[in-house]
Amino acid sequence: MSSPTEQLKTGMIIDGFTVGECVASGGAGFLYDCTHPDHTVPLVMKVPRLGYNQPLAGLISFETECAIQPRLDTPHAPRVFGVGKLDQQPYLVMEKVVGQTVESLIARRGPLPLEDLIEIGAAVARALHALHRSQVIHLDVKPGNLMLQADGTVVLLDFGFAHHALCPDLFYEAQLKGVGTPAYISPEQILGARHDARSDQFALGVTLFEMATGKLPFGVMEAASEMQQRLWRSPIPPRSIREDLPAWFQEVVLRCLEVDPEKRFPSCSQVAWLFEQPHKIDLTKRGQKTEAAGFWAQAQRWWRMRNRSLKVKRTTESNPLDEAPVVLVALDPESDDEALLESLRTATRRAMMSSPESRLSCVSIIESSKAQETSEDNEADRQHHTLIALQHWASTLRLDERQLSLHVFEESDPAQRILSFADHNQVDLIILGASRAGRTIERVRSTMTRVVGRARCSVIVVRPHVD
Amino acid sequence: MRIALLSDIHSNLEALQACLRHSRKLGVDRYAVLGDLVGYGADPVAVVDRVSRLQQDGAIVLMGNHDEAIIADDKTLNPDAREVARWTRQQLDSAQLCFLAALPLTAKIGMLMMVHASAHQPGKFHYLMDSDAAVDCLAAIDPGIRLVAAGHVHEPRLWHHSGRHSEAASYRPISGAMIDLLPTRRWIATIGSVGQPRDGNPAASYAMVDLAQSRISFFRVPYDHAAAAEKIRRAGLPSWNAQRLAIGK
Repeated sequence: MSSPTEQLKTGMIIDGFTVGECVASGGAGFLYDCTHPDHTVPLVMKVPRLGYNQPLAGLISFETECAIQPRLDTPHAPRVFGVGKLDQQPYLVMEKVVGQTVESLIARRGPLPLEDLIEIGAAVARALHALHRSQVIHLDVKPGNLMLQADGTVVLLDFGFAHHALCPDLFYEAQLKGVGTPAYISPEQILGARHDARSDQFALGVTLFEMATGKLPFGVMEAASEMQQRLWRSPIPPRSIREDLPAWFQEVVLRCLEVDPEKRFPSCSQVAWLFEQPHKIDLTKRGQKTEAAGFWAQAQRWWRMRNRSLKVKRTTESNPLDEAPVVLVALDPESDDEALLESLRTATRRAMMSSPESRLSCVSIIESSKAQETSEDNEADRQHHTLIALQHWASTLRLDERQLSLHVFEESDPAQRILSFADHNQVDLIILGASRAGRTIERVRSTMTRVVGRARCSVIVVRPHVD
Repeated sequence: MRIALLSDIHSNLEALQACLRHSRKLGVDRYAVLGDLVGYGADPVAVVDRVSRLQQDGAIVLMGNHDEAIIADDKTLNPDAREVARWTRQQLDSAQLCFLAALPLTAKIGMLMMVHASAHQPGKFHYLMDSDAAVDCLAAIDPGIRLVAAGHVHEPRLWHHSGRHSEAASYRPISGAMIDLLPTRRWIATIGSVGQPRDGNPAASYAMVDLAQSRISFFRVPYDHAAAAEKIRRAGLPSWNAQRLAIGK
């Protein structure tokens, strides 16, 4: 390192970026507004405090950001516009994200009403799932790092502690444990694990708890010994602080906060899905609790955890998200093509076998122009008939009702509807029927072709055996 | 400039050809072979000829301990390896032996230093197996060097050292992933073995470094290991040398 970074002066030009006002400064470094003639979006320049008198973690954190953030191509992370040479003038220029952080929202409004908890909770869970799908784990999820934009999208800030499945993990390899913000980090992070996407889910649980109650489930932990308690201590149920919270909400929060990652949800997309369909939540004792576990229960947990290490999967390597996939099957349940319906059923059953937590959305689209011509029913009736038929088709799959959702849409553009449904619900696999020789209608073919061509996930096209 | 780094071919022609084909497809400006062309396998003549052709076309070729053992009997090699070294010596003609004898121990291009085993006492062929060995290696290099590429350990790994920490840390690379060699650190890539991988994955291992971009990628290339093993059996060489190719041990 040639020289430790000093504060920059307004008006300085570095690699074409003109430095503006210093908008924030903290232990880790400085944040400046900046501009560049080639870029019209507002930019900020992050300049770290480096040098031998600064903690090692600060350097690793900045190295981590510089290695990971430019690789991200998602609306849930700030775009990067420039990375300074780390050994000369280290800086990171990124898009200035406009919005308000969840932290400032809580500070301003206190505990949030249920509608906001649902909306923001689902948006954060979707943002985390999108990140996990691009093989990144944030590992410092907290209200201050969650930026809410005007359109409801959540952008994650600060990738200084993040893990990328394809990059060297500088914190892990330096054997630094408990890296993150103490009040929010997961038990496995305290033990040094950094490869499990479900660690972000734990921090999401802490964040949801704080959004709902204004309090932290484990308090502001500072000493290492206090953090160790997270390996066995169960949090107080949020409903004991705020009575009007529904049991399902507490169920979600406390499941996110399970000590053992295996007991949490398989992915953050499950959390987002449940926020949108709370009636699908399997209520357990977690949701019903109204007081913290008693002394003896806590002591038992401590005894059990004492000599046990947590099983931590390197989930980004094995792609955990495939283990409990979200599947979309698109079909016309009223079709007279029994062979195709049977093939779709077989393919769907296979796709759902991997995990009891896999989820299936059955989608049927009535093409609106055609429906109006041929049917005497009104729109609501048509949709109802189709829904009944869809339910009948799905019942033969013998899935748990909680795994399943049925959707009927009347649309002029079926392919577009399937694609936007798949994007919004972060679907991992689309199954649909092939157009068949002899019965081919141009419309069917073009729907299939467009879905296959444009989907952002895998697509299985099913065709019955043709003899 | 993109340099394909290959090491520990160990007379395995099938594996060498597979890696050369793979790297040509990706686009490569230069080759570097980091020693141990021979030993263990049944194709020393074809491998030495192929590598010497690469050298005529501008490749860097270094000496490994198994190459040295062909020239002078090495009592530190295990009995199987010594037996194969004796057999290999009988296969090669004097021009091929001279080619091996003349190979240098190290080479440099810009910020990259290449060596068969470790930059620390290159002729002693220390194994880069742990942090201490990595730190010793980095202590021996010139200040301008940011990346040491080595073979010898038959396992792909990327060591890095920040200078702020007494220990070097390491990362097990994922095939095909591009890794930025951050300038705040110094790096050692043990690039794995082309002809006898030992990390449980039978696919041939090599790496590609892009000096302009300061990036490295490691690759695993499947090859016909059954054919290579069959040649070893037919040559009457120790059967374990054949068996291990299928299991990557």
